[in-house]
Amino acid sequence: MSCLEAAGVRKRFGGLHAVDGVDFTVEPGELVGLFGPNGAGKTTLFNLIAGAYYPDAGTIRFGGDDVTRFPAFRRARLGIARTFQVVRPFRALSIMENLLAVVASEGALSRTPEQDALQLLAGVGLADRANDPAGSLTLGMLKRFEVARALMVQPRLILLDEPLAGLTDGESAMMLRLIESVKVRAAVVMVEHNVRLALPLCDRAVVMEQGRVIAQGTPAQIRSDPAVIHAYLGDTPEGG
Amino acid sequence: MTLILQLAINGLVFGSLLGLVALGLALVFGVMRLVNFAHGEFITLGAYATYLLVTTTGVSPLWGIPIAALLGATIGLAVQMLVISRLAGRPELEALMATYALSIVGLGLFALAFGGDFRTYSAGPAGNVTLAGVVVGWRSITVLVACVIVGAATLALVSRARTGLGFRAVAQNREAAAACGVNVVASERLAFSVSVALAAICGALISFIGTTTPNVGHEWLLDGFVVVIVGGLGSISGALVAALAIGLLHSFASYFLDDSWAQIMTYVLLYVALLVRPHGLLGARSAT
Repeated sequence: MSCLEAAGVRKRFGGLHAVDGVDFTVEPGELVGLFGPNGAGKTTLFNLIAGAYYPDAGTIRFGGDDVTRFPAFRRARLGIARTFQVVRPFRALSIMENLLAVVASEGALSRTPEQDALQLLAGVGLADRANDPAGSLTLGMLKRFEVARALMVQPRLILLDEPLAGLTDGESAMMLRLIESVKVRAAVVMVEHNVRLALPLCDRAVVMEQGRVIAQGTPAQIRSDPAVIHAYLGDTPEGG
Repeated sequence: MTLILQLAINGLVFGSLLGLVALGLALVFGVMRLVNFAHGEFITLGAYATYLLVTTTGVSPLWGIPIAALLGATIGLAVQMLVISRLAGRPELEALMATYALSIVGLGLFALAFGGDFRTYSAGPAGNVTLAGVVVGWRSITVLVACVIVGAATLALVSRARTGLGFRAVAQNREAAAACGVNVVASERLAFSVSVALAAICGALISFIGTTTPNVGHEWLLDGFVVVIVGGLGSISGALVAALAIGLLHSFASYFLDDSWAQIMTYVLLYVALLVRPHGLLGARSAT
């Protein structure tokens, strides 16, 4: 059974078909990259999976459950965790408290949440900042902290919303290594603008344009796909 | 010495009631970043509920406490679902206007139903005890004990690690809290409902030692706001310290000077506190 299965998903904002009939699946343990030019609908699809809003049509299944109409917190409790494009820490709470505020997904409630949190923080290189307020961290740290907070959910699927956005080269390299280690714990869906850095990590890549999936396959297939090249380079400077 | 003790105890009773008012305000502000101008009307609600209960059924006014709590929790939940929940994500001014409107509606309804009369009752604990020359009414003792019990129960709820962190997470970022599995809607309902229950309990206790009028809650609310601001917006422990401080200040100032001076000094204290400790008595310095 697939980990995530979205079928015929549509979402319209006013007259704009942001997501226009998309089928999208993620297998357990898979790292799927979601790419496409600006306005392709990848962030909308991402938010539909996370439960930030509901689709106008189509279904989203997670594990055995139809989660199409589940609010975000229920999806988190089922094991869908996420990070944010613009980081959203609980700024006045310490890093540790941020992680302890997480309600772990059902069946994964730990008896030793403090130890779990410390372990996760060590994994993202922030163990020594556990007691600092989240507001005091740099952007690069906060991006990694959000991965740790998402892992605190004990997810089966983790959604990374532009994990590399705003990072320096050094921080990006660190984040890429982190994403590879996350893959061991959960299936990953990653929306990312930086195709050059992110594509090599993916087991499979899905490319969207104007609300539709125009190509999917291995990184090698995607690189040579004419539709993808056209979407990114296109006939116009904007490329769609 | 006896006089000092006497005034201190009076201040303690006043301060503990003020603390309960502030606790409700701080709870809602802490979780929802909402300034609830209608909090005073929920106090009045508890006062009239207790007054009606005592005068129509003749039971002890102590029964007013649980009845007011239940009534407050129910009405609080309804108001949260019908009005307050629609304010999430709206500009702060709109939320202020909405709770202010609720307050005006409440004031009008109470005036319509009960007129402007001062209502009191004589049922319930009566008489005084004299301890080391200090005379304390049984009613005051009852109020003090009830405030301590109710306050401690509320603090226990809020400081339970899971509930407390969930509340604070909701206050700081609703979307991120939801992504972390926190039921944002339920947290906000719980916080508002408990806050209104606290207000109604205050009302029950106030009806016990004072007079009930349509704007009794409104008068307490202003002092409640001062307490919450002096204690640091959203800081519950700060508010409790501030409540006792203002209670004592009020008691001493109204004896040695007069009631008006007590009011003036309360606001002078507010001014000084804002100058010296803008983030509250115990407030964190980086409240970003």
